[in-house]
Amino acid sequence: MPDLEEKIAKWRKRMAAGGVKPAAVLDELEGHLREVIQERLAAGRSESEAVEIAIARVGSPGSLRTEFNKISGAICLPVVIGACVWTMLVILIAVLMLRRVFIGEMGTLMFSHIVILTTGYLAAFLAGGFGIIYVCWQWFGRLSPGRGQSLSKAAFWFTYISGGLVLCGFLLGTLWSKQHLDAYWQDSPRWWGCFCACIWTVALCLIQRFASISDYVRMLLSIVGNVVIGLGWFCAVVPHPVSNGVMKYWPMEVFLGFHVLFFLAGFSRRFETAKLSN
Amino acid sequence: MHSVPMIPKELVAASAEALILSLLSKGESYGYAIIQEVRARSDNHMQWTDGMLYPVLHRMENNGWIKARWVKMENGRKRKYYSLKKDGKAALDKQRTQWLKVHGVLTQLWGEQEQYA
Repeated sequence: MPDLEEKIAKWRKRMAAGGVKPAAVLDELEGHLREVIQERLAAGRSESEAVEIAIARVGSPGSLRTEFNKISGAICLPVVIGACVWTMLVILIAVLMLRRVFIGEMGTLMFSHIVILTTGYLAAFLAGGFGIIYVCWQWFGRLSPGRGQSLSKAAFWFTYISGGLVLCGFLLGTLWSKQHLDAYWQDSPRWWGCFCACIWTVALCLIQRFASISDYVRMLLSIVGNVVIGLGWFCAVVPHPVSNGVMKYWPMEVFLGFHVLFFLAGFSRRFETAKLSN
Repeated sequence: MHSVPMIPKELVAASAEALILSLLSKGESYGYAIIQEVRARSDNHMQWTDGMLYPVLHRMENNGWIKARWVKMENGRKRKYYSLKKDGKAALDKQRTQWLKVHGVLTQLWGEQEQYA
């Protein structure tokens, strides 16, 4: 029944446009819609009538959005803790760096570059952390719709924060480089790492802004973001003659393995869900 | 004998959690089946906009009363089944006590009215 599928697809689009956006909610409501359509068809109604009745029974997107918003407003605990820790770290870094500015060890441009870039990296790590919690909760069956939305919303905003901060931090770094080293760009692992992290965070912001990605994809991308930022920040695998290719702050193998594990755990779960929906 | 009027949506909404918990205590179920059973058991006197059941189910899932799982059906489509958790059983016991109290008070009052009528 291609006509029926078209009508259901249109209804789904109307619901999403009306504010009922999570794919899992739409899947569930669509399942209900289909059951009512089958029930009405079995009762002798025409297809158009059956669809009309089913749509009326499921309800308007406005009223459903209002009811769903009532339950999705709650912020889950990891988001509260993560946001508090991030804020405290931002203050701590700013205070420590400010001290170096006052004793003349550092100029204001370098201060701004370090503080903004570091807080941007930390924001990206936080979004990735939310992704890891999301995957763990889903894996152990603890991910309720409210928790999922809360984590996704937090990852959404911290992705924008990280994109803006990392871009600003990178540009401030180029200005500092022009002032002190007479060139906007320095060919070193640290610079390449920062550049890659900047490209990634900005690209992720653009993907969020212009592509309709699900909560799940956002969380998986946030985990990938942790790897990109980790490699970019610590430059552990960028071979370069100046630094001998290694600036290890911690064992990167553990860091990478940890994130690949969570990514695969999340991805396999996604694959399982995709199989179900086919 | 007068006909039973439709139960207003406010009363249906107020009793929604108790109804869902009670139905799920008999075994796992899904949205459409829950609505059909409520309709059948109330002789079609309890009706709500079907979609409004889902925010209630999701809120109860957030509360940790029920859990959900997707099940692949024979037609290839998936369906979300809900079942009661331990906290849900405790919530059901609490709600049962409260509703029985309301029922008891009303029965008492109407018994008195009939006595003096």
